[in-house]
Amino acid sequence: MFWLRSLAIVLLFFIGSTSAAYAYLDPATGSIILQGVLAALAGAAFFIAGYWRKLRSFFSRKKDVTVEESEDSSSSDTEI
Amino acid sequence: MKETMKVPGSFRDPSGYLFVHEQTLYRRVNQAYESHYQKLNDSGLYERLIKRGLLIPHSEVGADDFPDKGDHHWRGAYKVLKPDLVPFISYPYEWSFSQLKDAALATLSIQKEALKHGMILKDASAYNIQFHQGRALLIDSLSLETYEDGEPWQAYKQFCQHFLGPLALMSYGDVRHVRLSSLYIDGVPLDLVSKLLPTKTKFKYGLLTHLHIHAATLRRYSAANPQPKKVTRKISAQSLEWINESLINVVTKLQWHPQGTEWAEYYSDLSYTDDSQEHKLALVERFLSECQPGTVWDLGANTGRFSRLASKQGIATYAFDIDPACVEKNYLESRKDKERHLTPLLMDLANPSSALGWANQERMSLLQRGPVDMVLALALIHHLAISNNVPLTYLAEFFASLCRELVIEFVPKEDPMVQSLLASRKDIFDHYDLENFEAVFTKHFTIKEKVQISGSPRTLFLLVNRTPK
Repeated sequence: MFWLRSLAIVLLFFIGSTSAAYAYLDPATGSIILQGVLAALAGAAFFIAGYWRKLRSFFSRKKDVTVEESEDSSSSDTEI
Repeated sequence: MKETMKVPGSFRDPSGYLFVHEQTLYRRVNQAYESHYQKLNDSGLYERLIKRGLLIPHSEVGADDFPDKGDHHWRGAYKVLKPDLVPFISYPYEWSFSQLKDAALATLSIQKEALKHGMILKDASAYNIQFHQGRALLIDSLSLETYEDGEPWQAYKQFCQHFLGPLALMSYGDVRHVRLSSLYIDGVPLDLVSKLLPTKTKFKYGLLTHLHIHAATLRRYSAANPQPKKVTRKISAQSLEWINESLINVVTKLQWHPQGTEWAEYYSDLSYTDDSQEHKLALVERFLSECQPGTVWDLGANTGRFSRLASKQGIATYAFDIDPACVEKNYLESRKDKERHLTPLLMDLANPSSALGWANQERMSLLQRGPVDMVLALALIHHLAISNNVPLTYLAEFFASLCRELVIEFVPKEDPMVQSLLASRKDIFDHYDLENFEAVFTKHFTIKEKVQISGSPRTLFLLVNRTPK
């Protein structure tokens, strides 16, 4: 789990901060920070998935198949 | 009830609360919620959620329609709403796995719709979801607020504690973990969830992040590790949608398959011959038609064969059983057949749900949610009287406090099922016989019908309460 913690710490640097939250629930600092990390991971995954798709279509001649496959892989990335 | 009464569980949210006035349920909306209320209507979100069956419909009560203008719940309110009534309020610790899962997915679907309409769920409490006319829906229309750009999801932790944590424990641990929800009024703490889950769940991305890492992050930033300044963070709307999709994904993947428990295979066992079963079904159906109850509780309902006799007549029917597998099977069947009048629920009658929460008033006990018109107690009494040693006098008092009419099956000692209960223990039940049963129950009830079930030593009674509550 060390790599994930390290990744989380690195990602924390890339997330902006402002806006105070006033709600009747205590959203809990830890939960807010985790949402930032998950959002960054999701963003990164979409970013990488996009490049991965381009890379694969560059090397592949079977364009139709690639499109189908890349759609599959991007949908599994959206798990984040 | 003549006077006005604020509903005891409705005090946390400053946007408004529920109150009962002249036996009608109202929701007061405070001035503070005005802009959110307008947004809910103007954005089309209210209409959309009603159309999808995800929110309880309400009507606005005009000044002419409210019976008492002097009432302090009415004065100074921004609006007073009259929500459609949910006849029976159930709680997450009374739901089967798929019920909790459907409630979780309903919550996430509402959040998804809300984000599309520039709004957000400000809370994600499982107590805000109820099963009504066969659907899991949100009963608290004040849960939706205008989304402020950059705001994180305040209810993320609550969602994980109320839904994802218990569901993961039920799926990967033991389905009986659902009962943990009754110990923790605001959901199961995530550090406890994380400790109880098997290690393999750390290798599933969704469970790792939303539960294990979430628990660790909460611990890291807890009161024991105070931060020098208040942490505020902007999360884009797109990110909130991603997080919501991730939660939908992880909840959808969680599975539990009921099998191998004592009761789930009951009807395929040999406790009844086909003739006896047919006779009993015909009798219960006739009793229902004669009494025409508005509400029925089927206690010890198993997978709901007899409950359906009532629900198929359009009677609001609640089918209680102690076995999570039975409740799950019953729920899955009712969902498949889109049954609108049947709600299966988990209940241990030897230890029914108690009153919980602040001042023991937030969540009602089972008995507080009665009485009802009719109770079915079929093939039940021997379990309470013999397996659980409850004296017949106590049983008679219990049923008399619950219902106007009682359909009860007396299962005598010579019945093979009772014989099997007595096989491994000493028979200390000298008073357990038909004569004594009648003597005790007729103190509270009159016997309207008494029928020997054909091909069986059992007797079916239709009893009418002498002094219904």
